[in-house]
Parts: sequence; C-alpha cells; structure tokens
Amino acid sequence: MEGFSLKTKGAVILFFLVLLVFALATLHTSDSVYGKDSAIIEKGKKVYKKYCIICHGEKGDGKGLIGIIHRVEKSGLVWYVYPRDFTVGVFKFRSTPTGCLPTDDDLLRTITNGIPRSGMPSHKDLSLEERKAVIAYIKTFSKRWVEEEPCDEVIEAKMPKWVGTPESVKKGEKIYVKMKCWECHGYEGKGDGPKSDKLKDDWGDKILPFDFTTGTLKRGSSPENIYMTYITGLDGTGMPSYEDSIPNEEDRWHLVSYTLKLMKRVK
Amino acid sequence: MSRKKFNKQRRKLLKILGAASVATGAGVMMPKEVLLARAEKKPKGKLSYEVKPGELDEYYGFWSGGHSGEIRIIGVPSMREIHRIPVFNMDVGSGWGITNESKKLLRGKYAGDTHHVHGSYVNGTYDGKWLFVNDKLNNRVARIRIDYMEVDAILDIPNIQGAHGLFPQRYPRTEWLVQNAEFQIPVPNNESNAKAFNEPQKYYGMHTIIDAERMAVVCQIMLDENCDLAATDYKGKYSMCTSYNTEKGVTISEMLAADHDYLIVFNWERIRKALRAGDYKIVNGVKVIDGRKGHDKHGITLRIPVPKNPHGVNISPDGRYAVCSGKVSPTCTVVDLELVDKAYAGKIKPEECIVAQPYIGLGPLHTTFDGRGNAITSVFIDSTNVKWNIQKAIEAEKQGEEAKKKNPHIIDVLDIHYQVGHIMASMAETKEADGKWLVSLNKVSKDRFINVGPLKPENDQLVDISGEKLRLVHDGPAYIEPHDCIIVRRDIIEPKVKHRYDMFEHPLAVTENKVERKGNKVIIRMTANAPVYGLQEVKLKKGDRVTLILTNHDEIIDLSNGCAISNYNINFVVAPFQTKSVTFTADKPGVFWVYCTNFCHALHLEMRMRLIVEP
Ligand code: HEC
Ligand code: HEC
Repeated sequence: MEGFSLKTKGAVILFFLVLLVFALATLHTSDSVYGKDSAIIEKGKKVYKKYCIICHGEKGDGKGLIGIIHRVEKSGLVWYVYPRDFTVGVFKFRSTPTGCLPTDDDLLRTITNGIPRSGMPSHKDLSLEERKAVIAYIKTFSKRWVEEEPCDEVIEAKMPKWVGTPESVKKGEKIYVKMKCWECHGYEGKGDGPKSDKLKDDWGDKILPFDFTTGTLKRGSSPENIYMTYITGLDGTGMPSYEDSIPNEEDRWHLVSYTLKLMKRVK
Repeated sequence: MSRKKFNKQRRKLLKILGAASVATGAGVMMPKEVLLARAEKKPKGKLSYEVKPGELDEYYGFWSGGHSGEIRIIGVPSMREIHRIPVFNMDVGSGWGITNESKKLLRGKYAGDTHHVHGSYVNGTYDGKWLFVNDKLNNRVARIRIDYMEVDAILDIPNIQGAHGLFPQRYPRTEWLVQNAEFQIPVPNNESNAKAFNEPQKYYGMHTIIDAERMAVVCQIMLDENCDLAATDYKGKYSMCTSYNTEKGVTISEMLAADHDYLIVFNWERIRKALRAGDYKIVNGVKVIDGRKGHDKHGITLRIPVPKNPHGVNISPDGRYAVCSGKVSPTCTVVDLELVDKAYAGKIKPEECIVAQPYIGLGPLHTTFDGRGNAITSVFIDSTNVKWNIQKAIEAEKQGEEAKKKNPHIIDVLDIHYQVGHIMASMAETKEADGKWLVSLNKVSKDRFINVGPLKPENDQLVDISGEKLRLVHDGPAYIEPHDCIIVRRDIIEPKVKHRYDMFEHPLAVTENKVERKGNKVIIRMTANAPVYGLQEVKLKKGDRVTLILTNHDEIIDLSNGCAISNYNINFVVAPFQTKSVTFTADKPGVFWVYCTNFCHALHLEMRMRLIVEP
C-alpha cells in the first residue's frame, strides 16, 4: 500500500461513510416493513398489553382505564389529556412536516422518554427490540401507515451558539408578536391568549395552549425541541406549523430564545 | 353585675389570693363562681366566627408551634388548622428532614423550639413575602417564603443561648431582624474561654442584628443584661428588648433579686456608626459591639428602668408607645417613643420616657392593640384578658395617685381558660390594626376538652374585640405548644401564595427519566404523574450509593404525589411541579416497591415501581 496518499485514504473513509449512511437509510425504510412482519407484531402486541394498554386501550383508541380519569385544570379551565388515539394516525411529536406521519425514530423517542407532563411514563426499562416491536404494533391501528407514502423531508434543528442571548431574546419577542403566538399562548406566555379557551383538538376535546411559565414541555426540554414544535406544528392540536411563515433560520432561533425567556430559563 | 362593682370585688379577691404566688409564676385559678358570674356579660361586638362549609377565612393566622419546632397556619376566625410548615423538626409526612433539600438546611439538627413568628414589612405593614421564626433550643432563625409556605434559609447564630424574642424591621422595609438572647453565657463559649465558665459575672446577653435578605448576622450588641422579648419601632430607628436578669443571676432567687430591671432600647443609627468606625471585635466570625454600661462607646443603648422581671414589649399601632408588660409587677409600663429621642439626645433621663404605669392584674405578660387607642393585655395568674385605654392611663398618671387608684383606664376584664401567655389581635403588630379578633393563647386547658390523658392540649381562645366588651366565642385545642401568633388579613397573603412550584427553580428538576451510573454511584431521575412514575423498574447492586430525584409533573392544583421506598425508611411528598431528592445506600438485596403515599388518583394503589437490589 505504498504511496497511498493521505488524500486517497480520506476519500476511502468518506466512501465508507457514505455507504454507512446509505445502509442506515435503507434500514430506516425497511423499518416500516416491520408492519408486515407478523412475528414482530405479535411481540409488539405483548409489550403493548403489558405496558401500554392501560392508557391507550385495547383498540388503540386512547380509551384505556386511566385516560378517562386524567384531568388537568388551569386558569379555572378544566380539560382532559387523553392518551393518544392511534386509530386516527395523527401524531404531535414529529421531525416530519405538518400532515406527515412521524418517522420510527420520532415514535421511538416518544416511547423511550415518555411525555412527563401528560403522564406517559418513560420506557427506558424496555429493550430496544421491545420498543421497536411495539412501534410496529401500534402502526396496525391506523390504515394511514399502509395507505400513505412516508414523507421524504426530515427537519433538523441545529442550534446556533447565540440562542438565549439578550439581543436574540429581544428579536424573538418581535417575532412572537408578529406571528401571533400570543393569540393562543397569551402575551406573557401563560397559555391564556384570546383564542385559548375555545380550542378543541382533532378528537373534539378541549385543549389549552402551552403555559410557558410552567416550562414543562411535552416534547422534551431542549431548545431544539422547541424549534421542532413550531416548525413542524403539533398536528391534531390546532397549533400550526410555522415552517413557511418563518422562513429565515435565524428568526426561528430568535423565537426559541424568547420562549426560553418566557420559561425563565434565560434572563 | 356592673363592671365597677365587679372590679371592686375582684380587687378584693386578688388581695386574698396574695402576691406570694407571683414570683414563681405558679397558677392560681379563679374560683368557679366568679367565672360563671362573668360569663353572663352581654356582648356589644357581634362578629360571627362561623365559617360555613365552602367559605374561606378572613385571616391567615401564623402560629408558632413551640417545642414541636414548626409553624402552623390557622384560619381566623374559624380556628381551623389549615396547614403546618415544618421548620426545626422532622416531618415524616412531607419528608422534611428526610430529603436532601431539607437536610441541607437543617444541618443535622431536628429539634427546635419556635416562639415568635413575624412577617416581613413594608411601611409598617406586612408585605406577604417572608415569615421569620426563632429557634430558642438550637439558636437559629428560619425564613419562610410565603409563596411556597416553605423554609428557604436557616441561620445559625453564634455566641448566644436562649434565642428568644425576634422582630423584623417595620420601616421602611424589613432589611434587618433582631434576635434576642435570653440566657447569658461566656463569649466565646468554648474551651478557649474555660476560665469564665464558673464566673457568671463574665456571662453576657446579646442583641443580634440579622440581614433579612442575605440571612447573615450583621453584628451583635453584647450586654451584661439578658435580652428577652423584642420589638422594633415604626420609624426604622430603634429596636428593643426587655431584660429580667440584670442581676446576672444563675439561680431563680438571684434573677429576682433587683427591684428594677430594664427595657433596653438600641439606636440603629449609632449601631451603623460603630460598624463604620470598626468598633467591634470578631468573635466566632461575627462582629460583636460592646454595649455594656460604661463600655458603650457610641451610646447605642438606653436603659429604661421598669419594675422587676418584665416580660413582653409591644408597640402601639400608631408607633407612639412601647408597652412593657410587668409579669412580676401587676402593671404595664408605657414608654413614649418620642421622649426616647430626647433621652438619646441627653435632654431627659431614661426613666422620664415613662408616661404611665397603670395597674392591669396579676402577671401581665403581653399586650396587643385594637387600633382604636386601646390595649389588651394578657394576665397570666388571673387568667384574664384586660382591655384598657392608653390615653386614659396616661391622663390618670398625670393626675396622680388618687386618680390612678380608680383605674379609669380599664374598660373590660375577660376571664379565659386558663393561664394565658401571648395574645394577639388581628393585624395588631402593624399600623393597620383593625380591632376585630383576638386570640388568647392559653397554656392550660384543664377541663375545657374531653380528657385525652395526662398530657392535655393548650387552649387557643378566640375573642371578638369589635365592641366595647371583649366577647369570648370559641375554644380551640392546640397540640404542643404554640407561643405566639400573628393574624394577617387574607388580601395581603393570598395573592402571593402559589398553587404550584416554578419547576426550574430547582436545579435538578427532572424532565427526562433516566438512570445514570458511575461506579457504585447511581442517580435515578424520575417524574411522577398520578398514577404512574416515569420509570417502572430500576436495577441496583448491593452497596450502590443511590440518589433518587423526583419531579411531580402533575399540573392539577393539589395533586401531590408521595414517594416511599419500602424498608428503606424513606418517604416524602412532591407538590405540583416540585422536585425533591433523597440519597441512600442500597444495602439490602431484594425487591423493594417504591409507592405513592399521598392519595393521588383512583389508581393510587397501583402507582408503584420496583427497585431491584441485586446481591
Ligand atoms: C400512563 C398512561 C400512558 C402509558 C402507560 C403509555 N402512554 Fe403513550 N401516551 C399517553 C398520553 C396521555 C399521550 C398523549 C400526550 C399528549 O398528547 O399530551 C400519549 C401519547 C403517545 C404517543 C403519541 C406521540 C405523538 O407524537 O403524538 C405514542 C406514540 C405513545 N403514546 C406510545 C405509547 C406506547 C407505545 C406505550 C407503551 C409502551 C405508551 N404510550 C404507554 C399516556 C400513556
Ligand atoms: C391556534 C393556537 C396556537 C397558536 C397560534 C400557537 N400555538 Fe403553540 N400550542 C398550542 C396548543 C393548543 C398547544 C398545546 C398542545 C398540547 O399540549 O398538546 C401548544 C403548544 C406549544 C408548545 C409546547 C410544546 C411542548 O413540547 O409541550 C410550544 C413550544 C409552542 N406551542 C410554541 C408556539 C409558538 C412559538 C407559537 C407562535 C409561533 C405558537 N405556539 C402558536 C396552540 C397554539
């Protein structure tokens, strides 16, 4: 291998990297083929029965025993957070654009970490295999998974260093006002905007906009998650996607800065 | 029976009971016939104390818990105990003394003796920000933040014992607190000063100044005298203490030897001057200024002689008078604070600040006010509350002995059951004293409740003071042993009190469930939502040093979750959005259920998870 220059070495490594990424990507798409693999579905069903059924219900319609009685109140309003109804195939926490199905990684993240504010526990104590199997199983509840092609676009959040600086917070405030986030979330971010008490989700249940002053995010507490929330939208909740209305990448992060301020996480 | 006639009879009676019992403070009960005769008086004030189901009290009462070490919140006028704030104690229900957060504040001391709860002030009235309370047992002061009704700082005070009277600055706002030391001790009180142990003449009392914001000692004024109860004025100029052991006695006889003791006033401007001039010694890390007679370089102290062994000192809501209750003397001493200015200026003698010394009854201990010029004094030995008019007492004093003998200042005498210590009227320690309710904290309940065994409850009696007469309306049993209380209007406190925590005030708030392991150190980060914990099982190895951090993510008001670890002696409660942590060694192999102790949900019993400790 004499004379093999550093440059070519680099090129070879790059080639392997590309191969790897490609392999991962195909692996990713073959995940959805799980849906047809009955052994995995059977395994997933067992996991579902042991861990999920009490909330998401036998039929996957979110009518498990707990769901019926989970009540939340804020500013004198009462609403119910039901476990997700999987029969509709609508999901809130995606990396895909609004209207799309989530990726398996999205579902895996939700199931692994849970949704503390909604009472969905983490499932870190399950093996990766078990979690993947249960994903395959919950997909059987909605036809969307068979009938629709998955969306190609996956949105990524790469946080600039300056997020949270006072200048950025200031710029973000202007965007918060301009984009009318306050119509639902209120000027002070308390979730009490003029539209807040009329909102219903896709399932016809009362839903309240997030109260930023509580700081307890459903999707996860990192700034990247906030970015993803309003760029991809929270499907099913009435909270739209701002992917098109805030095209400028910097503006998007200024808005994140401002929401961090509302949550008292920066000054 | 008319009041005058009664008073006459009464004085006769007092004569018979005699002063012999006064000195020791032993209880002498009123004969039953007299009690019955008194109960028939017709009331004029007619406030209703009834708070119907679903209705709310008009006042927050903050009670000290005495040697239970806690604070209690009592609704006034219903006298319902609404809440307890653990302070210098261990409370296994909430986990106070069990969690890392509380252990950090308590620093290993789980016994305490709270006497005086006071609120922080702005412009002579409560601002609803903090409460402060003393610990006479371990010489500490705790601060409670009113928004969470939770202790957020505990200060250890060096160089003192018997941390008794505590009072916050009332004007312009609470920057300083004063804390009196009732027991004189050697300073410093350690082996370096052992030769003083057997020389009581080298024992000293202290008046400690504390910075309320930083919760740190600003300085201490060292005295020969002891410092018992405390007060501050309404102008931000003076603080005060009563002193009953000017004799430096170490036996009860010695403490009662002198005819006169003092009300000692401290001049704050002069304290600041001494600090600026560097006229202090550092003892155990704090600045100690010499305020002893003959050593008080800056003239900080003013000693107003009062009859022997006085007790409480309270300031009238108009800020004009300090009323010093006699205890051993059957009188109160009224000091005009405007004259105190003159005495400091050297224009008059300290004793000339006294404008009245009216007769009150046997064993006057504490005085409170109705905001209409009247004082109400608790009288221990007589077991009465005595209502009297301050101006009338001053006028009679001017007119001389003959006028005084008629006791024109006394408006009403109410029998209470029995042996009253502190009394407090609504808002009486502020310029907004409203003269509606009074609570008489009686030390002895005797026959007032069904018999619960030899250790009986105290009796906190509610008195309507809105009319001319004092009207007893309610008996309230109390467990060991409230000393003092304040009664604060609801509109001052309620808007400040939160329904849930700001989650990220706690640096360890959990937003993602996970288990982290480094060698044998394990951190379990977990959330709680009724009826599930964020994790359903955690595997440990025998000998692991485990820290469990739990955050309650339930946003429903009042939905608190408990967390008990079976056979590991751990239990605590997290309120909505609150985080608490505990650290323990997993020294017993086996399966240990962690379960919710605080009823949270119809499926509360199912709210549990496993700790599996492998051998
Ligand atoms: C204690 C109740 C509970 C349990 C157990 C539970 N979930 Fe959930 N889950 C919820 C609730 C509530 C929501 C809806 C949260 C919201 O919209 O605020 C939810 C939402 C979801 C979502 C939707 C996420 C999205 O993007 O919209 C998925 C997927 C999900 N759960 C999967 C599971 C799986 C798989 C299990 C079992 C391994 C499980 N859950 C167990 C309560 C539960
Ligand atoms: C039409 C009403 C509406 C508007 C406008 C709106 N939101 Fe929301 N938003 C909601 C609702 C409803 C939820 C709560 C969804 C839930 O709890 O499942 C929410 C939740 C959120 C969350 C919390 C997500 C989480 O992880 O818990 C964030 C962050 C957020 N919105 C940001 C924004 C921003 C930024 C804007 C403006 C660019 C905005 N929203 C505009 C209705 C709205």
